[in-house]
Amino acid sequence: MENISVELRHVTKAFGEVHAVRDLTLQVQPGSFLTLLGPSGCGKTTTLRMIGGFERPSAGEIFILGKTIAYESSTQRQTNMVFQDYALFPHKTVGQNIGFGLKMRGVKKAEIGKRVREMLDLINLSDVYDRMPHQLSGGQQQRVALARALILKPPVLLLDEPLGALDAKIRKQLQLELKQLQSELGITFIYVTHDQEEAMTMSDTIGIMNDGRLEQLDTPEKIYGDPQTLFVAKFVGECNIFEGRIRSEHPDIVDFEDNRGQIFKLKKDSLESAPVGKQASLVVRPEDIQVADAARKCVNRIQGRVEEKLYSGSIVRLVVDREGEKIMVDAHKGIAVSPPELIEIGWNPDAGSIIL
Amino acid sequence: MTILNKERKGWGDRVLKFYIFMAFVFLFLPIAIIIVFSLNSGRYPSFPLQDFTVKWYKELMLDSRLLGSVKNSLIVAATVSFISTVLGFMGAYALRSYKLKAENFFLGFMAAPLTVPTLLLGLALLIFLNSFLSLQNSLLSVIISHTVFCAPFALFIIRARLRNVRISMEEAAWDLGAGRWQTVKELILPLCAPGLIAAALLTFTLSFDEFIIAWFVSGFQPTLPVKIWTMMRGGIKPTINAIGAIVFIFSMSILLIGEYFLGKKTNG
Ligand SMILES: Nc1ncnc2c1ncn2[C@@H]1O[C@H](COP(=O)(O)OP(=O)(O)O)[C@@H](O)[C@H]1O
Ligand SMILES: [Mg+2]
Repeated sequence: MENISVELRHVTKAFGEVHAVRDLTLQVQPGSFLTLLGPSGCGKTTTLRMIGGFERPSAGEIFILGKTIAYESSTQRQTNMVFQDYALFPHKTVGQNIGFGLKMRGVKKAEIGKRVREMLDLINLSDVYDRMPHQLSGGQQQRVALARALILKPPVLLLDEPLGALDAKIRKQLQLELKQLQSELGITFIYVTHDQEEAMTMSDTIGIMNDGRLEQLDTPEKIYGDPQTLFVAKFVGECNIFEGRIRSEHPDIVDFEDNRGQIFKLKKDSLESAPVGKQASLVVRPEDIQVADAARKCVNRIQGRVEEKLYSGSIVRLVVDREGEKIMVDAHKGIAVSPPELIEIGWNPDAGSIIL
Repeated sequence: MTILNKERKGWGDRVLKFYIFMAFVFLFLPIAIIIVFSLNSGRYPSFPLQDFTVKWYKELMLDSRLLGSVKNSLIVAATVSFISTVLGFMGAYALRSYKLKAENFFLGFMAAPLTVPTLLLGLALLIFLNSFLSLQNSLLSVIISHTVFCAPFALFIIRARLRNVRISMEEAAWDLGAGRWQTVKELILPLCAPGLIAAALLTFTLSFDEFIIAWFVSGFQPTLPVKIWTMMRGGIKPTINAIGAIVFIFSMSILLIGEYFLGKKTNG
């Protein structure tokens, strides 16, 4: 039991008619960074609040370090939370805010002062001890909220969209800092966000949620490269989806036939079983598709007409029309094609993935 | 668009100015006249004005029964204000913490004493206190009666203030190890202190100025408004203008201080 930090078993939460979380089961390894990712309203906050002891599950069990949550005693719980709105106490100084948890545990004043300063050093905010929260910038407030939760050295820290209110630049910086802090302290982080890029850069494990259910729990690479459901494929990054069925199975390769009768080959490694004849979807990311000369060497090839060419930074996004079907392709910005040219695009068997 | 807006603004402006003008004419002018006559040496409140004097104020200070009623009023108002604020706070906090299904019903119930004509309320309280609780008419009766209609005021004021304390702050306190009582002491009370002060001041003036209920239940311990009324039955003396001026300025100051705290923001 000790080698699991947080465990949810068949947890369900209903608010009257609304099922916020449905039959959710997951385990979190100690010291790892788990992100719950999903669109707004999918039940992320509710899940986090149940782990934090703010809500009781309607059904199922939650264990933290092998023990059930002590709802009654506010000092005996094993988690601390960083709130989406920070929830700093507006009438207390930064020092008093950060020291609050220690004060509630009856720690001596001198000791509190010392530890608060240590925390402020840790988050690079040494000179704001006596300021009021409203005198700080958003990013500083966020760090104070983090310090206030971390000073109690919880084995598990819960964070509900902690960077949601910040602008993009500070956000990027704090993402890095958070991740560094997490690996330095070795604390389990359970992090909630609806921003897939944020989840990708920070997490060891991502749990994709949709409508109260956990769709997939995996590493960021697996989530992106090998989505298990169409929802996951569409939610994380952009993708082209070909509907069709599995035509035949070989030792390493599966043949997929799309609805227009074209066969695409792809590697079998991600597929546990490939039931021949079954309806399936083939997902190919825009950046995995080659264009022009490079496409000619690919195993799977498609003819199409370039319909649009959109520049974004170092890449161009081509929209290729395959007789009514639009295919998105990301190519290098130097690519010498332009609408309405007829081109060939293609990819190799290791690129796509099949969703049953 | 801009022209339309300007026109509408000008129109609203004029209505507002008219309203303020009327308020001054009918609300403050009579009071201003009382203050003027209280400083006028003539025995009757009529123009033309005679010499400036403070003799009516001096006369007041020699009237020991009047001063006794002032003391009564201060005792009643202070006690009522304290009890109402404590009750109002407890009610508002309970309403916030335990989301009642019948919250609106409860609030309506609380507001009921404010909608009953005070004449009826006074009569009802007189009968209730005398016949059911066998209380002699006294200051205690006034205190109980005034608390009945002041506590709801306090509750509504404090409830509005409590709304500014986000639930997430309370949850954060709990998350960091604060129990219920610690949360109240560290978070709730300091954050709604302006509301508590405002409630205390407003209920103080409500009780201090209240006449009808006090007239029913005060018995031989008249409060100031009751005393003024008895004095007026023997004709309007200039001293009454002086009392009126003092009471007006006193109540107005407390109200204004109360308003200041009502509008005060918690985080600077
Ligand atoms: N206290 C509550 N009472 C009723 N419904 C709630 C409550 N909290 C959340 N919900 C509902 O549960 C669903 C999931 O909410 P939430 O967990 O906040 O989603 P997320 O954080 O992923 O945006 C939503 O439909 C929301 O309206
Ligand atoms: Mg949320």
